[in-house]
Amino acid sequence: MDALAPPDVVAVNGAVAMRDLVLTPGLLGDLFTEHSRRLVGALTVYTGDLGDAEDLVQEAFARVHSSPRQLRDPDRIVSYLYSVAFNLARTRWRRQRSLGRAVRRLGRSVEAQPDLAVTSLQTAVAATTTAAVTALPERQRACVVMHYYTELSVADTATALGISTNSVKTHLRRALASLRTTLADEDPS
Amino acid sequence: MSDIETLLRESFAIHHDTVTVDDDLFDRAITRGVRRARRRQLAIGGAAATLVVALVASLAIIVSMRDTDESNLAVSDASAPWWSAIKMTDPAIFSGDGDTFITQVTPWQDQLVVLGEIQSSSGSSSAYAWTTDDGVNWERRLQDLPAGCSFSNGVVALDDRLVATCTIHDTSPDGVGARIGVATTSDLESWTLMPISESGQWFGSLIGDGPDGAAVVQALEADDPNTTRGSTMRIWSSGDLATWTSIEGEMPTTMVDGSAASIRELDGHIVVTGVFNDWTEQAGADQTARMLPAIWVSTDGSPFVRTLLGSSDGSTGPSTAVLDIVSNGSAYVAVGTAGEPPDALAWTSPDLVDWSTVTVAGDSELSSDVDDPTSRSVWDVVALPDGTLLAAGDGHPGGGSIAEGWLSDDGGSSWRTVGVSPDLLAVWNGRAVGMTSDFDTQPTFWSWAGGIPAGSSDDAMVDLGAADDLEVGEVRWYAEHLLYLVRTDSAVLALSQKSPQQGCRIALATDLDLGDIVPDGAVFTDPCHGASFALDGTHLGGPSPRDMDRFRVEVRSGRITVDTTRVLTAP
Repeated sequence: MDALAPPDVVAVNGAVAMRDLVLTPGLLGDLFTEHSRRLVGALTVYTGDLGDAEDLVQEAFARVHSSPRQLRDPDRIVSYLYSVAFNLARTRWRRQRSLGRAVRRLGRSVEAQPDLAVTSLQTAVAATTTAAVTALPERQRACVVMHYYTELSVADTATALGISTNSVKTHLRRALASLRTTLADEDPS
Repeated sequence: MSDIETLLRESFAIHHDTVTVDDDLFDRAITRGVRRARRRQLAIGGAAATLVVALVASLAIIVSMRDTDESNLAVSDASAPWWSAIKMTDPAIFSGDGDTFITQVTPWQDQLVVLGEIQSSSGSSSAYAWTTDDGVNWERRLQDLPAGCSFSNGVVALDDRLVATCTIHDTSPDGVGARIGVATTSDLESWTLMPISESGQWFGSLIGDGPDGAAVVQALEADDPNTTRGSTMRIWSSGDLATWTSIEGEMPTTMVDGSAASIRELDGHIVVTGVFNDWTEQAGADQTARMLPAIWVSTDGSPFVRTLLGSSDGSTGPSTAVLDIVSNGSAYVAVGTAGEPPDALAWTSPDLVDWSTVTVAGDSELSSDVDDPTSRSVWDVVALPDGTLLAAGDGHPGGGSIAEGWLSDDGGSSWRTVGVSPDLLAVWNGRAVGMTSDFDTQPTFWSWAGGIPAGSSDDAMVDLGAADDLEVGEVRWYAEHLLYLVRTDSAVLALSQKSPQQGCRIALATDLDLGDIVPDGAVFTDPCHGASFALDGTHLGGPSPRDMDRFRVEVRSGRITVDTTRVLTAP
């Protein structure tokens, strides 16, 4: 049992390697320039609300800023950013469900109409499609938005959501089948 | 690439072109991050002040770079010996194709009834009921409601009937719009539908019990069927479910877009909880009301009268609401959230008139600087037969998605965490039970299995290091405290080294040459008797009367602290 290191030694060993990992505002700024629009857009489709999406993206960048330990591997920073943003969105979705159980059913009938800026979309088809995505069950919605909107690979989507690649594929397959039906119903042409 | 994939990509590209992001968003994010980093340095620097070794002090500075708040260990699993949790299986339903919502846990006759909905990927949703008489074996009894009726918010058990509120949709050209009604069942096989309101745009939201076995239903009439804003609230009461009497008086104005949070019968009063929007002390330019935690009370059918919980200049904030209320025979205890940033609060009163505010979970040291968008809240409270109160909610902003539980054995005046908790609570056969309804997991039934852990004073808590340093699956041995610290997938546990059988010292299975006589998953073994235990102390085999005993663990500011003064005996 002596082989078990006392915890403080573990902490030192773990911490030393991180000494050089200071995230500069410049690096984070580049990340923001490159990814914020896509994230805000994707989370608008996910949550159905632009204001919520902006707040989630703001929080995600705040967390990346204050979590240099997540950046041991710079290649992972984008995946980490997306993961934080989407997990925040999912946690909040769940929390609102718990808090709002008093009006759950009502809430769903109202919230099912996504608060998208439909008038600013260039075509009604795009609006209909994104609305249909917003109405998907949570897991399918998360997979579709991450894979097709933020253009993460299936593997990265799986990592970001903390599920297996097979689960992602299953959710995507079901989502596409469902969307095909939904969209065909709404637009016979 | 399939047609639908092309459509998705093109639609998302069009959507993306419409998105603009203000640079201000970046500045606000950085400000938020900097503040949080400072706070963390202060918190960890403070903890390090108790350590005298300079080397350790320098370690603290390095550790302060680590994001301890990011730990998934939102709550420790100190409660695990006290709850037993069993996944509810119903393969016909939990196929993963759709979201499962458990909406209610209700004791009814000798059974426990759990109601839920499945929202399928096609967008349709079905209502189900499951019953159990032992907490282990479940039977699916009821599938769906009458056509045109959708569950709104909950079910009450009245004598021989279960009564659910129901929004009756009639959207045909000659239809009457959406009416509110109730669906009742006495056999869990079929529902009978009874309308309450006339035509209009009514949305059912809530049902509760009233005095003398009455049902009380609250609904909203909306001007615009697509939104609840600007809607009118109405509350009806009925003793026979056929004749409904509207109760007058002031109603809660908003709570999550317009509904009250709960309706309860307490000692002959009908009590509605929610939030009162006070426009009189208008702060000025931003045109927002002050949101104040409030209840409304009606006695003997008299008009509802509002009572503010706490002072009118006190706790407010954007998520303020009184979410539940209970009586334990000697005190009324309401729970909810208020303040900015929001704290998880309880309010206590001897008479439903004079109220005191108690913080269940908050952090005053940090509150001036916390701007996490999430909020603490307590959303469910039940009273056990001995007067103990058990509450569920969220005590850790931004941390994890598992509910936290709290106990009070002094009528709500003080609370202590019991770690993880189910989302929905009920009292059944004299004990606390609950359901977790997380969309990511199968619905899980929880029952309170053991005694009630006593609280620990701060002096009793020993710091055993940073939570993030303990890897999942790791085991650490603390000779001075005779305990093993382990991290499972979901929790940090402090397991007593003393065997439950005869007090032999439990060893690591890998330290003994036991060959293949230990079962798979055995991490610990009792060398005197041959019993083996899993990483979380679960008894796997061999002679032992129970799982490994534990010590109480709390993760505080990312540090693992353990109360080593008392062993918690496993059930």
